Amino acid sequence: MTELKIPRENANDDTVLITSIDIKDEQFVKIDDLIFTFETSKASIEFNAPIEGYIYLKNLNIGQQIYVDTVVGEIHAQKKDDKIKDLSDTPKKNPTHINNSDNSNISNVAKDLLNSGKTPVKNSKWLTSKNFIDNENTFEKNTVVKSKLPFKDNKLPKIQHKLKGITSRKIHEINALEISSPHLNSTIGINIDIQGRRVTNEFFNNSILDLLIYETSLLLKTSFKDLNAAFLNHENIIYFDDVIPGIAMDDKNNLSVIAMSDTKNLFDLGKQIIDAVIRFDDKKLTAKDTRETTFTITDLSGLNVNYVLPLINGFQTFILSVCKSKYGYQLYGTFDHRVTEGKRFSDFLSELKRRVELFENNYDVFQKIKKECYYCTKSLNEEQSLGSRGFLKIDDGESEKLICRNCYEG
Amino acid sequence: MKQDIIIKDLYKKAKIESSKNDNLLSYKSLILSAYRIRSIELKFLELFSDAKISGTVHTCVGQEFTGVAISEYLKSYDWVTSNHRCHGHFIAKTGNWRGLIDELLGLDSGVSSGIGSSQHLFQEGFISNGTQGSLLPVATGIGVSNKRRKRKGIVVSFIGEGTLGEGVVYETFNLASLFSSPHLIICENNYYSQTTAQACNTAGSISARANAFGIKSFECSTWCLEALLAKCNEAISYVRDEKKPAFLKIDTYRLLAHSKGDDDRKRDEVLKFEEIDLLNQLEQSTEYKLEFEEIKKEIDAYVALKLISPKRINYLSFSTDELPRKVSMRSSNILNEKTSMVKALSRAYKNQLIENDAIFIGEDIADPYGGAFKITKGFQEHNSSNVYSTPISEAGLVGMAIGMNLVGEKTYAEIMFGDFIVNAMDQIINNAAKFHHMYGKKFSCDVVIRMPMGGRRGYGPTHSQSLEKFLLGIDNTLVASVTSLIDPTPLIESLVQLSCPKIVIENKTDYSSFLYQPLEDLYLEKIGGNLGTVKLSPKGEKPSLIVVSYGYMARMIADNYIKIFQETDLVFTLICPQLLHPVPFNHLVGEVKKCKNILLIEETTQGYGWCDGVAAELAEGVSDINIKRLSSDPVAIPSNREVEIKNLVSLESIIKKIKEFRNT
Repeated sequence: MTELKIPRENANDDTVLITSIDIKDEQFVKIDDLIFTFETSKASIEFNAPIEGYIYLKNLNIGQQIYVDTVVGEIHAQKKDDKIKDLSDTPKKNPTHINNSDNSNISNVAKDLLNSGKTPVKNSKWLTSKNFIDNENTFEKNTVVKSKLPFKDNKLPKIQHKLKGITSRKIHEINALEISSPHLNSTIGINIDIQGRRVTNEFFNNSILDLLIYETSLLLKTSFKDLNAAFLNHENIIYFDDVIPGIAMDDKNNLSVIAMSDTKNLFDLGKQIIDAVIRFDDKKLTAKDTRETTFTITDLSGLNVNYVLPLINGFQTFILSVCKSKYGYQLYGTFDHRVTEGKRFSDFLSELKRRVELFENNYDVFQKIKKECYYCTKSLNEEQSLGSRGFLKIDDGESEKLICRNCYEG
Repeated sequence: MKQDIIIKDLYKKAKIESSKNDNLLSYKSLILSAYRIRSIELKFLELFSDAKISGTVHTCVGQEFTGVAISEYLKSYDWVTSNHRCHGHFIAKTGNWRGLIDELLGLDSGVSSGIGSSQHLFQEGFISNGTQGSLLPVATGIGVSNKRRKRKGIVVSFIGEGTLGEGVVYETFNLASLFSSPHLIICENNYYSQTTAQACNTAGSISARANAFGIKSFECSTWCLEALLAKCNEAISYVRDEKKPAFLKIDTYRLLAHSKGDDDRKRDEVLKFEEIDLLNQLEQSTEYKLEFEEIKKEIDAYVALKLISPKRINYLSFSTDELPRKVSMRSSNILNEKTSMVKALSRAYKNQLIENDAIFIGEDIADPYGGAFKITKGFQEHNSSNVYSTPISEAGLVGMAIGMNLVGEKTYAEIMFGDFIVNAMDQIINNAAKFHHMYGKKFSCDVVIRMPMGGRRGYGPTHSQSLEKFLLGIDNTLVASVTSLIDPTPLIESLVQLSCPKIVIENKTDYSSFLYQPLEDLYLEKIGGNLGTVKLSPKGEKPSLIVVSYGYMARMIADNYIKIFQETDLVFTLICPQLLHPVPFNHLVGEVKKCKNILLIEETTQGYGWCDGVAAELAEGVSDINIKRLSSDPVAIPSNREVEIKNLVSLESIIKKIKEFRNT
């Protein structure tokens, strides 16, 4: 087995930018076959196979910034997990537990799937492997005009996700857009006027980046799950299981999107952001930093600009970008028409604006505890407007939480 | 050298005979008839030289009196079959010289509508064809039918001595003698076969050939008219009175080339025979001068008239055939009774015997044996006059069936093993198939030729083949395949209504199958009436694949449907056409458009078979389809059963092929 490491091409570059990947995972390569190409500050360099064998890539993505000496793959002489079966030796299984109560005819492949514990999505008198495909919420498929795929080799993101079919209405929309428009994205802007002063690290004195990330993540987990997605192709949309925010950072030489981990509170998120910025500045980003994200946000509030048209990152539905002027913060969101609509995205921005603007009402002074019911995310304002005096505090031994009366009473 | 001696003896004999031509006035009409024939023949040669007609012509100049003499004793209800050199026979029998001229001028008023031309003439009571000996068994069949129906008519066949090289001549001698057909075979012995001398072509005695089959023979020549007439009368009377076959050898000499320029005989030899030719002699006399000139003028005037505005047959109407090319899309459920295929087939054919007085001709089909596969068992006991058990003569028995059909019988010819059909290909292709169009669509031959094909019985390379691919695409000839998926009775009943020749492919292995009873989860239906297609589809599931096959292969696939499904993980619809040519594509295309994966399977060998034709047709008619084909290996079929199974399409090879569709 031979490891493939990012080589150091010059003394100044501690990271390289992956610009193309030219093979498929588990592909057999010969000596000198081109595997991928990367850019340093000086040149574009091809990485070739040092030996022949089956290649297995690790965390290698186009557009990724990777540190020198990072192991990005391995070449093995033989295929891993090679399971060539000698059928004559394979003992025949006796699927005694198959539920054949509806007298279905079952193919051998379907029997094997049943034996392995899988259940058919759709029952049929003729059970085949096709009945086991996860077509949950599949919509009617129509023939569409084929367009350029977002990534080479139509690779799927590594983040856990589900595939769902595209509605026929959306397919018609995409068809029309692909004919009439040069691109399929739209940008909507919204003003955010922060009430009150933020008592926090001076890093965020003139920035609402942490608030935006925190509230956006919450919204994507609750009422706007459909935006935590990405267009894959003309049949499916990817819906991510987790929400992974990414902050775009650019120091003129490198543009990176740094992933944030899920945090329970704004205070910890703020710390994460600051640490990430420091690592970025010191060029010490780790693989964890540059892993895939489900949405991206850029903070231009320190740059004296008041308008931006942010570009959506790969395998994402939207990107947010915030600027600051004397009139307050301007938040711009670009969204993918193939996944969502303007109205929906506008609703999202409006809700995001509302929650950010009322941060003072929703957080304690140290921004550690958000003033909302941990169960239904109702804000304190909402609770009080319903006639309640406030939340109840619960201490479950791990952390303190706030809960509204309705949720407490079940 | 030997030929020189033969010719020398012939001339000597001819000169003596020709000196006996006295009292010719009593034969004036025959002489004028013969002269008309000669004039027309010479006119044809002139028209060729002037490029007014094309193709070829085989004149009978010097031999005119054979046709004239024979026809003197024939009745209107007698039949004549002739060969390439048929003009004199035709004019003598029918008197329709104008129709003959029109025919060679290619006019739609010709006896064969301008299609058959010189060699292919038809008028009720007369038929000619260009392949040597081909019509002999047909003529025997006409005679057998006349005898069966107690009709008075006899049949006369003209051949040249060169035709004695063809095997079908001896099959005919055998059949005519065995069945006592009132059939007179006349051999115009002109001592040359095209350009080859008789000494090089014909061994032994000509007449003894017929004698060997118990057929009485007669001999005469064309040089003495009186003697010729007497002998013709004797021969014809014998055949008519005794209702037995006879053979008449008439020595003669053609004065011109075989066709138009192919004459390598010595000029002085020909000149000698020209001198003693009766018509040449009479032409020089004043006795017939006026009538001869009248005849020439009449012919010249007729030809000149016909050349002014020639009218040809409409090609579009000519080129349509009698084959059913579309079936209705009406669907009906199939409910098969519990009986075996052999019983079902036997019953279906026997119904034809009873209802349509059909005749069954085949080898060893008489009771108690009832044929190799027992399809015709009991037929002869039911009605012996409807069953003709023949010797081993595929060409002869098929020709006989065609001849009987020509005069109104419904005939079914059985070929014992489909492998032997190759022996009868001339009868199928050059007679049965051609009759309808070749003779200007004046009549059709609707004979049924049935045979079992297929292996899996260990019978070996020449008794196991599926040769249907050599029978597909023959003009105007329908090829059907019966299968135990469906009772064959409606198909066989419907075939009777079609006026074209029909070939029915049966299957040896399928004979022993019981008619198919579908499983509960499979739906068996027929699309398109009695000639339609059988369809076996899974209930409640859209198929991923269409499998198209016929005959026993379709039955094998149906029997193993569940196993194939289990092994391949694919649900499929089986389409089994009962018509192989023409395939009812309107139905097949409809099915294919719904599911773009198609597998065509047949037991015949790979390449240029039914699957290939259907695949090409579908590829042209439907876009974006994924077609695969499966046939047997193109080598001789082994006798050993274990090895035979590897050669032929098997369940394993079907499963393997279907699996190739899994990722499409």
